Amino acid sequence: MSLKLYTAQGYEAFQQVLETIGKGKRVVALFTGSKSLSTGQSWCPDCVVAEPIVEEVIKEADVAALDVHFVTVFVGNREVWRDPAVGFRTDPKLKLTCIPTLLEVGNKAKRLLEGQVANKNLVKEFFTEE
Amino acid sequence: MGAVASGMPPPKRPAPAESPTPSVEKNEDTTGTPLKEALKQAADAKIAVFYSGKSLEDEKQIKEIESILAALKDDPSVENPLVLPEVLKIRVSEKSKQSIQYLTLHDSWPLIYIKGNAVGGLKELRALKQDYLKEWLRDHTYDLIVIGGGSGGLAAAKEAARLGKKVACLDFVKPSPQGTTWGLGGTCVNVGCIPKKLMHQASLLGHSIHDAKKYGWKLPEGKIEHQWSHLRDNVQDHIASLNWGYRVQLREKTVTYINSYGEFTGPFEISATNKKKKVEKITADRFLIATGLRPKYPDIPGVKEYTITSDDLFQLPYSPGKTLCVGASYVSLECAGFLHGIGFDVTVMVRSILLRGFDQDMAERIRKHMIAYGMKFESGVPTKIEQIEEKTDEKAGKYRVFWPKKNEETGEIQEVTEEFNTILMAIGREAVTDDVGLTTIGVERAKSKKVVGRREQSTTIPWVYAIGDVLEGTPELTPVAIQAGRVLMRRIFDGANVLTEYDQIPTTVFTPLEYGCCGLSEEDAFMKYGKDNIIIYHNVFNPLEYTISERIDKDHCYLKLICLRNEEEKVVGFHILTPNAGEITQGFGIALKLAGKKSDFDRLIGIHPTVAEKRK
Repeated sequence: MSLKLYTAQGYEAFQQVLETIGKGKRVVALFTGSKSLSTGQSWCPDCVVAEPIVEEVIKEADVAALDVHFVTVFVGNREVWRDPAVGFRTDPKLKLTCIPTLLEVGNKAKRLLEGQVANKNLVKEFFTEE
Repeated sequence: MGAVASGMPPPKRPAPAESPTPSVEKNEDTTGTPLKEALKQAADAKIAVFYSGKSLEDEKQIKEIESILAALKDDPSVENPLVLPEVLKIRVSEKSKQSIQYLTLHDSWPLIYIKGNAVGGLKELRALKQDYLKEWLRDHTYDLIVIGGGSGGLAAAKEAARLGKKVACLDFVKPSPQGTTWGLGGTCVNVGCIPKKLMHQASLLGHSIHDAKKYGWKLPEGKIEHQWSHLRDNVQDHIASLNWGYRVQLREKTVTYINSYGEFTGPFEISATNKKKKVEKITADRFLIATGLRPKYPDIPGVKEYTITSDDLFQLPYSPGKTLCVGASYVSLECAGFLHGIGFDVTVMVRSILLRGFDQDMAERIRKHMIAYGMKFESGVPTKIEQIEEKTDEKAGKYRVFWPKKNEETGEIQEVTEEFNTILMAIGREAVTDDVGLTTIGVERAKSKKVVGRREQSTTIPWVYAIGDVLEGTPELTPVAIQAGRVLMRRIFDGANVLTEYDQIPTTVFTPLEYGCCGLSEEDAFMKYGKDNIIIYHNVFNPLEYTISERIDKDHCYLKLICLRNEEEKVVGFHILTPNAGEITQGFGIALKLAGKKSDFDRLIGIHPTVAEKRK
């Protein structure tokens, strides 16, 4: 039993990862801005702040021991994200409105948005609470 | 916002018997620490005493207080000896004394405060157990532990955190007899106001669909069906987002949320048990009980196995079917109303009058409307419930209910029976405080098991407070609990001179035709002022929107103003039966708060065409 890590680039890739994981599993996903190939930096400033914090939390012993599938989903560049027709915004199971978003797949209510994802305590509780 | 206590007329006091010349008296009235600062000092000090500095008696009592406290001193050889703080003596004017006594409802003087809590005088200090007193002066983990994460508890916890205090909030839902449980937020969010209003809306929308045809909309022929599971799921999704929102909010405001059942195991200690039965002990300087109420069950065979309550209704896994609502409370009538509105066969069983405590003329109008609407009423009390078919996760069961009924022709009482798929018990709500350890530490409870308070402070244990439904003698309403929570925190932590006003609170019963009211009922007005002094202005009206749709409700909409003859027709009661009663009543409530008169209502020109303009 331990935390399994995945990454996905874009909406289609994310759907594929979900299929690979299969049903009945606890899946947590972090939606974040894609990194530029040249600078290695994300175009989304809130994501830049949040990512290392999430990384710290998943390394902690009690979180790393959880039976959770954790997917980091890179939503694309700014244009892709801004498009109102992008899968992330229109998929009724996701309905994302901002990034970074940390959510639990299948749980409509449980999500952390923007500045909340930079709050280490909130993120830790998100993983450890049923 | 709370009222400024010193703005209220101070209680009448007899003139001092041997007063010095009036001019000296006048001067003495302005000496001492100003009220605002004095209250803040008392809130912040470990031990403080208010005195007026006029009589020798005050000085004598203060000496006594100091010696009682000095006696608590530990032998220096004891491990962790108790360090006795100095007593802060705060001198205030006669006027301030009256304000402070009104604020705390303590008549004693000099008035002792310990860690910001009003204790009383020498008598009350002596009444406290010595070991409680010593423990009180020690340090504890939290400034405040709130027991109950509902409307009152959450508001208070957030306010205390905002004032910089270290707060823990305990919330734990013991499952209903049917096994239902829910998340953070209390009754209102999970099994009260919120799901009720949403389901009430579902029922209203059903009517709008019918009305729409007369307004020109082309709709499919035949009956428009309703799907219970769809409504329930959407309501529950919204509730889940509120549960989550509160979790995040508490965390962001640095309130420690503990999902455990709290019980006093010491005067300043709570043992908190989580659902895995793990026990954690925590201590605090102060405690706030905000545990609310749960539905009552009658003592009849079969009731806990075969019936549900409002705790279960909003999460019901199967469609309710033919339903019996037992009870004459607004819970019973509101649930019966929306269940009927979304298409179920509903009967309401009442023992005697509807909506006890509310204006009975309005209650009778509500009954007439519900009957015209197609709902059935039975007089009686169930004596027995039998199961015919067991319920499953997908389908409602079938039950036979027995009750005594008077035969119309012979006049004799016979036992009658009828079958229902769902029986909703809504006969009242009660405080469930037996397992909170209140007897252990000596917090006084009323016969109702609610906490007895001097305002919101326990009458027997000065560091324990209560707000919301669990506090005896206050209206059982969410906004009251929220207001009380916030105002109390400001008063005890900041020394603010504010009180919660528990009168003239506007409310609304969300029956199919909504009933909004603010102020006194006709009965209460007659009792308080005498029938001859009351004049009532009333109006039956027909909402314009209902004319085209030929609604039955148009014959039932009604409004009345209850006025005092001898105070220039000051309005002391406002009652209205209409769609959107809640929104309308909120606005008119301010008129009563500002002591509006009938003539003021007349001066205000109406908005046309509305229902609210008809208040003449």
